[in-house]
Amino acid sequence: MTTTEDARPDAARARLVEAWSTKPGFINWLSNVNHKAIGFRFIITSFIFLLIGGVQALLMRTQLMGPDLDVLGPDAYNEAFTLHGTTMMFLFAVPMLEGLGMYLVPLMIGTRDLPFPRLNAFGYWLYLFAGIFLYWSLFTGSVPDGGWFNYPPLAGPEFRPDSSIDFWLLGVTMTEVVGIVGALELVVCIARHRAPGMTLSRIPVFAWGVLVSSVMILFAFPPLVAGSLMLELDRKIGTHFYNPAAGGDPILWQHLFWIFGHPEVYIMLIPAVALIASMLPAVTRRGIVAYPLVVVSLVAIGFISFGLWVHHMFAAGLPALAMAFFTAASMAIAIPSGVQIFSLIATMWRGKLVWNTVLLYVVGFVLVFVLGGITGVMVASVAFDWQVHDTFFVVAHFHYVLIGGVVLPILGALHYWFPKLTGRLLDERLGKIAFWLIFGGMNLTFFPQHILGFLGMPRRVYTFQSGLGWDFYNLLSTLGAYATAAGFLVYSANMAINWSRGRPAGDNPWDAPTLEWATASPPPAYNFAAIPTVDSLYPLWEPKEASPHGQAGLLDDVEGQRREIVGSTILDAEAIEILELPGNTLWPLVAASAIVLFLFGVMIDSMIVGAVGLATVVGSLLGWLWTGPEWRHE
Amino acid sequence: MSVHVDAALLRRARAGEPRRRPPVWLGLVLGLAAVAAVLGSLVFSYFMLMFHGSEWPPAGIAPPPLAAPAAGLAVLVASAVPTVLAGRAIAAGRQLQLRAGLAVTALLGLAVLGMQARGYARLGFTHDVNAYTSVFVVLSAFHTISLVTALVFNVATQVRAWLGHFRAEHHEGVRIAALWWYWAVVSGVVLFATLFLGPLIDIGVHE
Repeated sequence: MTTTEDARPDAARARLVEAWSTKPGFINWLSNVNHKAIGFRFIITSFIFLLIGGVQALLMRTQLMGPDLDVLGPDAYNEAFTLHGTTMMFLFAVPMLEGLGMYLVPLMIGTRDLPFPRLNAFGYWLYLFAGIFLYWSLFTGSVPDGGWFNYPPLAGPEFRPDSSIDFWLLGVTMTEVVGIVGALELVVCIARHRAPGMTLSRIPVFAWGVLVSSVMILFAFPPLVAGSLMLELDRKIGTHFYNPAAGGDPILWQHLFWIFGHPEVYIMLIPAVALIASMLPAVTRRGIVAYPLVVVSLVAIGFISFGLWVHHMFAAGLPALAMAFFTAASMAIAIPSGVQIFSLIATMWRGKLVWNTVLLYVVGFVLVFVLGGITGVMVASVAFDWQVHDTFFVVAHFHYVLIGGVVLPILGALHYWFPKLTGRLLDERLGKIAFWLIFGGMNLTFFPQHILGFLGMPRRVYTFQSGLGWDFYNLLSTLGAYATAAGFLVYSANMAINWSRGRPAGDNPWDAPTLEWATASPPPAYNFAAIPTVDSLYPLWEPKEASPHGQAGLLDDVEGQRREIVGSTILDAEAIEILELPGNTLWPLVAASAIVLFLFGVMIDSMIVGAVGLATVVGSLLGWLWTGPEWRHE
Repeated sequence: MSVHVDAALLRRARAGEPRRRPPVWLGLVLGLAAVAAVLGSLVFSYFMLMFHGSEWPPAGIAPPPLAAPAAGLAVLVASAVPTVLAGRAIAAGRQLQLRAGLAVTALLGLAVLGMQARGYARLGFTHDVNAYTSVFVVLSAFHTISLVTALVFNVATQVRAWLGHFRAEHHEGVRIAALWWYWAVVSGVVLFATLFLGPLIDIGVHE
């Protein structure tokens, strides 16, 4: 570790600030491409979508609080569960995890920015527009109601001729593109921009998790892009991909959707588990147990998860051989998942526990996720699956997996990294109150739903009759949902109050071992005054060298106002080149707006608007890519 | 272990020496992998629809021709040659050959587009007849769009070449445009195999 934060000559520091920072003003704000600004916007926007999705969940639970209620009505209920699932999957979970990756990964691996800053900014704008586009449907009265899985023929032109499903298909496809562009630059960042000395065995677990899930995104999102394209063509220009009357096949959609959809679960889970493993050293005061096994099992989960998709289609009438294969694969994935959990438990067992809010979230994750995992092994069996298919048992199962495996780690991570993002500490007492309300509330909401499933209550019904033995459990479930909502209120209030008024955090409030804590909170635009060198998995826990201040790090000064980062080799992280990054620009915003204009033209069947949009897309991409002579710095 | 690297040394080491592939290269390859996965999903859909039906192409639709598409494919594959030569030329600092190579590539690409337009005109069906015609037209259009995009890149690179933006040691733009051109060629080969050779497979339904 050789960051030389305090001994920097002031003149060099001033040049770093000049080269990297963004000046105040609205236009500058729009043109900012810094990874921290963009990551921060992803985190905030996706948190707002989390709250919106939560309100939809509350509406549904209120409708199901007792028999024969009429709070929502059947149509509104369908719209609520569609928007809830779509929002949580496409507008909250993946963008939140990518946002955390965009913010934290460059800091953790010791570089100054992501390798393609403009692409990053483009991703944010397209994500924001995708969210607005999807929710615009509320103002048109044609709200998507085909479920988050959007199966044809229900979602096809025959049964859904209005524009509701078009909002869904185009909006979701935009979020897929956002996921892909974010993924490819996170992969390149982790592969080629690690600080000198950060060999494969010294990469922080969260960066590993982001790497694995990003590679998965590159192969899992395209099938849904292709599937959505074909469904949109069916709806708009009369093709027959999913129309059985003309030789099409609705099962094709189910395949494409779940070839995306099952890896998607692990695309969310892997970075979330990695978040937990990255917070653990700070709250157990020791390194993670069996780090190599944890990394190998993350990679193994990444591979196996592409062989599970058919278990969502056990009731679709597929050949027995396929069922046997996918049952086996669905059970096999429990093994690497188990390795993760045992490593976390062993780390806690061997460490000195610090019982703060962060540790509560870690323990909460283990408990809830294990319960979700166990019911997952149960439904992996075809025989059992047929009994509970489309009942509330499945709802309970995947909410345990997703809240335990994704939401709790994210809430813990926001609590843990809030001081780095804002320079302020959250209140521990409010943090613990929020945790217990959310943890207790979600168990009260979803545990009774297992029983409701066994009692035969189907999913996706807007109401039920009395006398079926379902009343009590539904009431419990709804009360749990209100408790969870109260927890989220406390959690949000904690953030709002301490944003500017919290106790100053200092550089490293948790005495944590990874590089993001080696710089100021919030970090300066250039992250590190000089690129650090790394000789351990936990660089900040290494004994300090005798005189770190005397050493000059890489890039401790700027040359010609250029934003420069170090390129290193993939395996050994040996510094081999210095690369220039582009500065702030409005082109990404123009390109993202043009895409929305094009899709708007598609929505209103206007060739002219569509053509103008498309021409603007091409023009803005050319403007974006245009550089002067490549030899200009010689 | 301690690591000592000197920024000035890194800069000097790079200047003048032919550049190794920079990180943007890896980014582009990953982007192409995602685009290839879209194509893979469309090809998967083609064969799923094919094995789903009892007749392929369905009754009343003539099997696709082979000769004209094969000729188009030959021209397309041939267009990779001037692309390679253009890259080699600029690596040796020969500006004129770079411009010529790019121009010939573009002409061959335009010829392929012309042949595809003729193919569309002679199809004898539109996309909205049945699942076969839908998947045929959409997959063909996928390739046409890839080729048009590659042509846009090519033209932008030609403009830059005439403005003298490239040198022997600095011609990343040429390499990137070439990579996209190769993608247009490779996807053309895959789609030829799917659309024109695929129907020759016996799907095992005899009535």
